[in-house]
Amino acid sequence: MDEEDKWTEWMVQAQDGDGAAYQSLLQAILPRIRSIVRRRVSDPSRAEDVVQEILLSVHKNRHTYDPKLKFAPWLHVIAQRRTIDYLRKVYRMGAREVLVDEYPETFLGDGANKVEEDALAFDDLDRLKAAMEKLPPGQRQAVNLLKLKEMSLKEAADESGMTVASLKVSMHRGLKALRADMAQEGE
Amino acid sequence: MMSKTTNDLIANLSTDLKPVHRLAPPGKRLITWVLVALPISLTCGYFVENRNLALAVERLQDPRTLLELCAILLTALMAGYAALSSAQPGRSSKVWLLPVIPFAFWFSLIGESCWRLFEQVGPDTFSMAPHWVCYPAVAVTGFAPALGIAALLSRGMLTNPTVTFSMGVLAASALGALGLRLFHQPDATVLLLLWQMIATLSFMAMASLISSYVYRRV
Repeated sequence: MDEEDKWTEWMVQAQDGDGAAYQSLLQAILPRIRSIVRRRVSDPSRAEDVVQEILLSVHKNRHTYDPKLKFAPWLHVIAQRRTIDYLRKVYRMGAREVLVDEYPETFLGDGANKVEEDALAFDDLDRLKAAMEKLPPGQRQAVNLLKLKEMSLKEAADESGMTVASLKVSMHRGLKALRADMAQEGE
Repeated sequence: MMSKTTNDLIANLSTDLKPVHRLAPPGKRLITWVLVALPISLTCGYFVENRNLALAVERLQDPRTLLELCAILLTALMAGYAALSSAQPGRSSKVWLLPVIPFAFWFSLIGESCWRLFEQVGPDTFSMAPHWVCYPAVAVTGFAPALGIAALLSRGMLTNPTVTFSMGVLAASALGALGLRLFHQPDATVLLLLWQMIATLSFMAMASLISSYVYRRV
């Protein structure tokens, strides 16, 4: 029995609810999916995001596989479709957004522009540590990775397993809470 | 780290895996669609066109109309098969070629009818303006095929939306046109076909909105 026949057999078992066969199948097709994606997406971490999108699509649409047909063409269509969807998304984002690693705090309110005070406050490491301890774990991790370790959003997302969007939100909330906490202590 | 996340995802997807109801082959779904949607469409056409069964019988005895009906039915079947196939990954991507010949034949028959009418009535009387009185018949005969094909397509996967959507619209328009051609008093023209397609598009858009709402709720 060749590799693709094995995939077909595992997929049929997975459609019947066999989790172990499904896990074997997804592990086995991973190199094939990666090779399809990396032909079009050169950045390894972004390529891995697309690979995960494809796995989710395979999962969501596993009922559409017909056991009378070969499994590989079914997989190829889904993998190529999702990769093209990703490239279109990147193209659309590139046309209207500029990605930056540092987000300058430039809101109009006075509270958002106390750069020197913030710098002085954050220089007091004991106070900063104490304030950090009070933050919820997600916010603490976001501030730690992005501000203290000075990682880029992409690196921090890889390190924490959080999405870029939730990292941005957590960091913003974390910084706001830190400022409020340290301002309170300073009074 | 990346592989670890992907491995975690695989483990999560495989845990407590539920059995799925396999999508039936396109041929089987096509038969279901025709068996359900065609009688509804014909019944609606019969009632909305003043129960004119005599006209339908007369048209069925005319060889040219019979030829046209065959072309319409073949277009509906081929386009329906193409739409359903294209929504199932792994099937041939050239499936959209199936309805090309029957549709071209049907369209040429309509074109010839229009030309004959143009020759009979002349350029002053011949009009391409919308005949609003035809629209209820178009809508009534078209709704069941359009809702039916949209419901069947929503269970598949849109890997080539352009082909799936255009074939679905053609199939539903053609199946609706069968009832129209049998019971509607004026002859089917290009304009009527256009109306049929617009009606089908509206029904399919409505069906998509309803099904996406229902899927969000389930």
